[in-house]
Amino acid sequence: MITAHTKHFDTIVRRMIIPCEIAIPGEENSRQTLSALWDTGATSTCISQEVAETMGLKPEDFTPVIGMENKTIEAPLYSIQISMGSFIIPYIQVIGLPMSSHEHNMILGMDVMVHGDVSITNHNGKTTLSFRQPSLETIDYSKEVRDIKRYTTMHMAWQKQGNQKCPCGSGKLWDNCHGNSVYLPKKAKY
Amino acid sequence: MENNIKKQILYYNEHKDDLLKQYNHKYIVVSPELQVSSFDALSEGFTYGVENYGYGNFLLKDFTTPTQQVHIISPTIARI
Repeated sequence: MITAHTKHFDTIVRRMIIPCEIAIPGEENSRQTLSALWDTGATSTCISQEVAETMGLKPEDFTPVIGMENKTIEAPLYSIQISMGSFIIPYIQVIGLPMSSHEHNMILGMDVMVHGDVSITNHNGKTTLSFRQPSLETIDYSKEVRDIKRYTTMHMAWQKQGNQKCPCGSGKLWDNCHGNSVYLPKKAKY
Repeated sequence: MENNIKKQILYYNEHKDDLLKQYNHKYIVVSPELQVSSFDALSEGFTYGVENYGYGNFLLKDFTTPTQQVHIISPTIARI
């Protein structure tokens, strides 16, 4: 099943904090909504130790964690369920850590992001974070730019010969295919 | 913080190399009686542990990924 969730921010943000529900697997009554910071610098997902204790989470393992200033602490691991909209990870081991931030009490690490595809866009001065699972395709902006340059050059040559097909081989007209790309300036409509 | 798995952790530390060799790429559950069971998925290990030993009374170890250090670095830089 494909699931996805999107968070639209009102401005450009440098810290993406979104609501995230967590629960002890199989115990719906334990569900809580936390403020989760998306952090590609974190290998693992963490929750505030204070939240873990309030929820009655019990450790099932301990792991060394290297934090700021290369300090290592032994931190408890808990199995929880994570959900954001329809995006659900039914079982994941997360780390309980002391957190002093007033903005977030959870850090979503790379172990969550590797479940699917994540994109961050900043169009029209607004940050949008969107993610889905499972991963469906490779997004390669560099290849897209290379392709549109190549196709535009080919299209200009073909156009002189009266050929309006898109050079990508789709069989569509240029205007309905790569000619409509976000990489090209929008044509004025009369 | 309540910790009901001290005995299991001691057992794990004493037998770490053997357990890693025997249960590589698996999840293992170590019971209060120090019995070891292995599973292919975290969900299976967690469910088995809760049903048989009660929540919080078992060690659940992940041998599916190579041992790696956990890094959590999220600095907030104050602008003055």
